Amino acid sequence: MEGFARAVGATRHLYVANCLGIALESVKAAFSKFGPVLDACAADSSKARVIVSFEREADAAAARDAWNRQCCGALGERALVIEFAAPRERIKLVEVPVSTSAQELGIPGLSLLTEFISSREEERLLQEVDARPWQALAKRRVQHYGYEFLYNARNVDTSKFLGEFPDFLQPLLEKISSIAELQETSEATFPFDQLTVNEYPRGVGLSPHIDTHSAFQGSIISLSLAGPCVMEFRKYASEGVSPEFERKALFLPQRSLLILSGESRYGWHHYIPHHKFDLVSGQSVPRESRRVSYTFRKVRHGPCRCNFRQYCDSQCHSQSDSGAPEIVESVDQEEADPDDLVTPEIEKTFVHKVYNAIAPHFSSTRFAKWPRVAAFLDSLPPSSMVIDAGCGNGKYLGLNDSCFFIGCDVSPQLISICARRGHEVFVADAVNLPFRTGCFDAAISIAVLHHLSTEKRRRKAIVELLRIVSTGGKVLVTVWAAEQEDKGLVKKWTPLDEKCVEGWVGDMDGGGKSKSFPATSSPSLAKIDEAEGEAGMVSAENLEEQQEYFVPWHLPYHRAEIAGSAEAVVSGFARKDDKKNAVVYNRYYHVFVRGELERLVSSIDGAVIVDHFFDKSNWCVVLQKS
Amino acid sequence: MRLLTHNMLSCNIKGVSKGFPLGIEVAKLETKTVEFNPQFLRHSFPKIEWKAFQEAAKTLGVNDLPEQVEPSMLDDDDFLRRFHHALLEIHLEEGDLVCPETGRKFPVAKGIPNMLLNEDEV
Repeated sequence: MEGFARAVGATRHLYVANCLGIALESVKAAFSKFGPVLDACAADSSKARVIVSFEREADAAAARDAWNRQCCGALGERALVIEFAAPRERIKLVEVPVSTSAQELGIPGLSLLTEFISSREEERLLQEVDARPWQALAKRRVQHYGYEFLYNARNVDTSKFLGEFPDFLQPLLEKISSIAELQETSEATFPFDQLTVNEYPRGVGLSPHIDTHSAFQGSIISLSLAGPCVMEFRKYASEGVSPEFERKALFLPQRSLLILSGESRYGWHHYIPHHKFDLVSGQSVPRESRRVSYTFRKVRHGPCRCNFRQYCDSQCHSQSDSGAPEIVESVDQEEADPDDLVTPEIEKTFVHKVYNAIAPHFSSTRFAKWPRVAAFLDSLPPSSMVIDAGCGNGKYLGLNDSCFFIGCDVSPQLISICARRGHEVFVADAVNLPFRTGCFDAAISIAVLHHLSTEKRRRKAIVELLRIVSTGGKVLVTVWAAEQEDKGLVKKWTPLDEKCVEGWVGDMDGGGKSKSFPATSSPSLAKIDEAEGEAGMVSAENLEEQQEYFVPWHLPYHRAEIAGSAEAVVSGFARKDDKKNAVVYNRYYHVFVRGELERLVSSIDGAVIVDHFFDKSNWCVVLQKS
Repeated sequence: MRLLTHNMLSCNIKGVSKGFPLGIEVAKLETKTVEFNPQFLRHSFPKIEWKAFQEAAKTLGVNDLPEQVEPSMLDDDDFLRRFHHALLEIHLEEGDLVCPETGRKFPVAKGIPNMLLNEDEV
């Protein structure tokens, strides 16, 4: 949805679904029955959803009450789905130049000490936290020491002392306490009594915020480990809600220590953009597979008396929430956006369409069963009810003959192959499974998640698998690894850059909407493999960071289904390779890097990882619903 | 599609709160013999929403299932055979599955239900 988002409460705008084929004027006219309608416009490119804007909220509410989920006589007995909508405060931001020196930014109280610790010390600090349990948040993992930080309250729970800092922190704490500029702060910074360790997976950032004033006193110290990031600082012109603000960005290298004191701590929002690459001094710097930060703070007892009253919860009660104004770009969204479930063009074209085109040939090559999948199925108790979500040609259906298998796949062509083999199957989408909750004993998702083009969709697919198995039920998930055993294979793939995927997917992390390619298949696509160095290509040095690929499928000229490929070749969706006597289709893949699958899974409540392993260039996890 | 599968399927259109059980409109049925497996039936029984199952069976012309059931019936061979037949041997080959809340129809063709949603339904 461009321009509008679902609203929490009542508004004068309605989001009306199921309007495909009805003229906007007719929608407007029909809704005018409830009161003056100012506008009816398309909510997105689907033509099925319309935003109806009333003059008065009460009229919008009346229309929604009357027609939501009702067959609407005025619109051809259409069953409309109606929700309140609110205009998005979309602020287009251009990239701000990233500085490598804190002094250069000129923000009072901000310092950066590079190479603050050695690589050995860094390694030790990482080992120590990795040996301790992480708490999973929506997108990152955390550990709290001293006092727990409560994200809902944006404050510490001072009644809940978690215990003294562990001993391994002592050398680091001593080193920090000897920093000269921390000695002369107006409020005491030492001794620290609260530490939050954050682990950010690649591409994950942090919403703009100011640490709650009443929660901590003195300076806030943050040490970057395992990888770099960019931190942006924002100062708002007036009372916090103005969209105008000053922006400055600082590169935080690995092993650097950031100090936020005075104005930089109390008056500036800090923010980590959700990027996989940062542009620093004209160079694209990839984020590492993770960044771990140690943030030390001193809990405040008593009110804050800073000079930044507009952000101070101790001095300004009307503004208890010190969060930044809502900026779509950076919203830490836990709520499912309806658009997450709409299949992005890149999947429709380069997954669904391709598999439908190559189904019989694909199936004829897919008979080898992975021993680890077979072993998982063999381990299930007799009579187990098993779902294979994304079953392809159904090679795992019925593999354990004491169990009952149901398969589903998004490709009708592959599903008919399964049905002809006598399997119980139907057509459905892995991100939205049509089952009641808890009805299966086990589920498998084999080589499916890597065809989903956003993290939200990959996560949703796992949430769905866990939803439909019963408590104690097991779920096996396997995905292609970026770390392929056959390196030569990877060379045959076409790396896609992020912008390219983003263009097809739409708003991947809320950023720009630029499409690198048109939304329908076009002749330019077939040329991607050949057009070295053009947009959409990734230079060779970035290959290790590369996770988005087109993987070719060669459909030999002698196959019967080649007849169906003529049109695909003409439209540019597939291309002929006379040397190989085959029509070449591209399939979209997001290959998983080490640890990514576990991270994705650990952000989901209600499941434990009972096994994880690498098998034949695939990352695999076995989950158990708790 | 067997009634066992039907008993698990639920309409997942966005906003639908009661997508189960799906109504059945029958165009063509088929019966295929399946080996009788009492152990599987006993295991599956607690997972079955009986009322939905019994009513779906009636729609498919199977009228010999009791409205009320209790686990002790699983010791009765006659009951198990009727349960077995309805659960596993009757297939809806052509027809529609109908969402109880919105009336949306999901077509069943050649025994395969198509549960894909349109963009405005997700």
